Amino acid sequence: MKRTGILTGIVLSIFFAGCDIVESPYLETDTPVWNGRKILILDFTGHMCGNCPSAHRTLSQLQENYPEAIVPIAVHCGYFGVVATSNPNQPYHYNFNTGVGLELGGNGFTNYGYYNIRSQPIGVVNQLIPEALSAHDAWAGNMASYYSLFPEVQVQITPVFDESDSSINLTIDVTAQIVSTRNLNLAAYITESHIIEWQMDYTQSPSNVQNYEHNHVLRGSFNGTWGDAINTANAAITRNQKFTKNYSLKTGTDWVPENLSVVAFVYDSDTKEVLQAEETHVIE
Amino acid sequence: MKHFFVVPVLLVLGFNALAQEQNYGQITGNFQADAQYYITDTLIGASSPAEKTMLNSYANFIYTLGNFSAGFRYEGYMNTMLGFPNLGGVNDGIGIPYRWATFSNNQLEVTAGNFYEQFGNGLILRSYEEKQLGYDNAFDGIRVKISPYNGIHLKAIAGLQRFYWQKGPGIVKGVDGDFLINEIFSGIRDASWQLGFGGSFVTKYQKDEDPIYDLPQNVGAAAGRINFSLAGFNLISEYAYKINDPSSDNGLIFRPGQALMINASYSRSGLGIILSTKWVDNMSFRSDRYAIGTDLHINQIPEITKNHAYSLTAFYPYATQPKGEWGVQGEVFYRFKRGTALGGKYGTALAVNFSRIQNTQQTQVDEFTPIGARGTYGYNTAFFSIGDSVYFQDLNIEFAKKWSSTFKSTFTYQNIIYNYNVLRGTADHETVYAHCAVADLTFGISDVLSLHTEMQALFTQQDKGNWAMLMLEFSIPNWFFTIADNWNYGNADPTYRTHYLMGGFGYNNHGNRIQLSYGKQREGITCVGGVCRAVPASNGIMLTISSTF
Amino acid sequence: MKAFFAAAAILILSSVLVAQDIPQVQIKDLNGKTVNTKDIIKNNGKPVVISFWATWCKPCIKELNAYNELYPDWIKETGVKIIAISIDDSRSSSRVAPFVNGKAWDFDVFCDANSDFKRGMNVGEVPHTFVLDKNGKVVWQHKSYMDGDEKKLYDVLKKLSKGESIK
Repeated sequence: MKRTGILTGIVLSIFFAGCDIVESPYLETDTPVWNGRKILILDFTGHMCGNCPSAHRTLSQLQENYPEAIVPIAVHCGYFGVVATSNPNQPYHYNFNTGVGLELGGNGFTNYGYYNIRSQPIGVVNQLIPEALSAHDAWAGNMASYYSLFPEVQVQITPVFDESDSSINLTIDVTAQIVSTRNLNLAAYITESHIIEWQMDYTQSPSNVQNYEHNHVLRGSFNGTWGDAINTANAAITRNQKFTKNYSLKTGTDWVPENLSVVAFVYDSDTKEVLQAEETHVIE
Repeated sequence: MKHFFVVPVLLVLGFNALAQEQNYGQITGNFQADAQYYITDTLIGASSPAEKTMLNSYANFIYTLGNFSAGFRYEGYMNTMLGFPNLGGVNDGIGIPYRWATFSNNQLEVTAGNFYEQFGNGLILRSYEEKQLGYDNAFDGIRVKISPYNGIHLKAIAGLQRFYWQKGPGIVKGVDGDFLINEIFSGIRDASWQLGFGGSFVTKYQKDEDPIYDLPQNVGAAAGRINFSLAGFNLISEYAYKINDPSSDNGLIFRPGQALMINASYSRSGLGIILSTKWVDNMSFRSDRYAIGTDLHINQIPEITKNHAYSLTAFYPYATQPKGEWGVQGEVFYRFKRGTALGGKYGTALAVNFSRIQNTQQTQVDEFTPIGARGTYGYNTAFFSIGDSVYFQDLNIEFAKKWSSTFKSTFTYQNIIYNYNVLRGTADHETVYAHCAVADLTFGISDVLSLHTEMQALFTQQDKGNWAMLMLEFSIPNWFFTIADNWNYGNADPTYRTHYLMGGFGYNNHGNRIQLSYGKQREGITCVGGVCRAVPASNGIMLTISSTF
Repeated sequence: MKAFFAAAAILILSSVLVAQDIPQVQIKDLNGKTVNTKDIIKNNGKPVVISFWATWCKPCIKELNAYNELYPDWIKETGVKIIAISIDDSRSSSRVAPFVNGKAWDFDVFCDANSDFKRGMNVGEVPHTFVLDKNGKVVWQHKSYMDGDEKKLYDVLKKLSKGESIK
């Protein structure tokens, strides 16, 4: 009986020793160092998704806390991205869907896309695989593991907008910062911000918000959903080796050129990890 | 893959044949497969996936020899049926996610591998599986149970929880003690009163990778309970406390959580009365603070509502809100004896149930911080505070009577208030007020043929309007045939006044059952124990095979 | 897939072949006292019926009501003991006792709140009923309940009490 008592006491004290009570203001005290790595966040969202504005706010907060380190894309797709009506005077008439978005996230009815999107909001941080899907509260933590790393490649985008035929001509330079043998792909998308349209927001009353500001909305891609291969067959890449690609695209009729950005990212085509992302306004 | 199945089958047959004569132990198990072939039906919103047919299956095998037992469960989702938790296809696949070995004798039981466990009433620890919901938060680790003395039962566990085909990130450790006073002190063993105490402590560890907030890595919860009975009276009560646990569920706030439940009951032959109350605040407890849906729960707050079995009385079911709720429930079970006026020749059973659940009252921590603001204390709430918003109310009366040796009936009336926004996660939906009536009749037509019918009606002016339901079921020895129709005759939009017609038949003998049905299934919610899963509308053929061996 | 169903078919057929022991598990009686399954099935060499049920399971209640009416006759003719195991969770012993008393059932009722016994007996859905012979081995089982199934159970019990084989 006595032995059991002592054993119980030891066991309980081991357990009780593990109790972290955090005091206000609940913030981390050490600030991580940023070495230039930019992290891609894909937010699978929809204009009829009432819980999605919380994810948008999380993204804004991350951008505020880590200016320049976050490259977000709002991929409208899935069940909540569907166009509800063709009547332009009714809510949710705007079509945010794109070929790329539907390929990644599906239409929520007959298919669910590469990421098998069954509920929204949901996103991936820097890893282009369905297993990496996580809720927006986890994005800060997911991002932290990449934040202090030195970027393996640098990406520079030089866009030229031609007003006469509404086209964007791009040059993208990818410069390797270290020696490697990775198989690399380069994908270049176009996004638009400050689109004022309807959005369902469960934190507002009424929840149908007419003049919601949609930012980083995916509009299309320059070179396909998965981009172009820039290094294949595990060929050796030397330091400072440069890969250059040129693309062009015609803008959509209702796009506002001043609000457009090119988002380019280089990823390892085997592990699907994004090595560096970059975002540049089309018109400076 | 073919060879994979040959081995267990031969093992079962071979072992059991041998085991009869010498003591080589025995193997038992069960098997179930559910398959559905989907047809697209835009009127009811039913979609058809690329695979056309989806299959959920599992098989359990248990080997026992004396004090030793071991087993495993094979699960195969090829691919997961629609409506079951499967974000990103994470549930699809085949494998053995559950395997264990246990040694037990009179005083000690040790389990290594996967196990399910519950401490007290589950307020701080309950792991279980419910295949109908796709819910499985089994532990993978070790468990020790000791009974060092009469009436004292101690348990200790440590492990990780199941997350589909992997483990969750958090490490969970817990201890529980159950002390039955009447067994400890042999003098009062046969006293007319019985008293028991219990206490448990659970802690979880998860690394903090959030660069902004200082999240607690070790979160502990403690609970204490008491159980008292005297003559026909019984009282059970449990209180739980959990320290700060910022998570996706509570929006990353740092306040602690509490829960209290009290059940009092009286029963004697022919009468049972229960009164319960429950108060919960911020008691979502998961081994991954970012988990969503039904994933990785460590605890399960018990429900305080009645589980309804009929299609229309279960139309608006309640889902427990671990974020905060207060509830009260009263139930009376009474049997009118044979020979009395209401009792009739065979006796009549009456059951009355009333449940009501409201929110708790929350106030701001200070004038600058809105309620529930991220990264703050969140809000203040007084213990056992009751708010003004009704989440759910259910009054139902059930009257069961056997009229003759061939005719039995059960009549049910239900009155429901359902806060659609809170319980379904929407923001603009009206609260639903509904009445429901059900007549459940069984006729024994001959010695071998019986007919069972249900006639149900749901009346409401909100949501989809009125529904009517009719079911007919014929059964002869080993076989049954059913046909059922759910009709949304009261829908405000005439195009949606659809008949959801479904027919099927099945075979049932010994431990085996096979059922085949065809038809439309309406969209709805299925809940077990306060945990719910959304069932999508579907149109197609469903096959179920199950067996216990 | 085909091999899977073939294996399933073989296992289903094999289920009628052998008699099996029940697992030794701890469950609670209606007073909250812990008991061992091997103790509750003792019935002086007479057959025992174990029926898994839940307060929310309509067919289970129909089945147990049917057995309750015939129980006195069955005891006289076969000496059977019926044990009803409730798989209701958490609030078991407090809700099940008033429920059972409200129905005035005469059998022994126990609570398997953690589903240990249910898992050990490989029970999937309820109702699921087992018959144990005089040696405490499972010799017959039945899932779900349709009106008239109690007659089948009665036949099995009669045969067992006379020492005949159940085939």
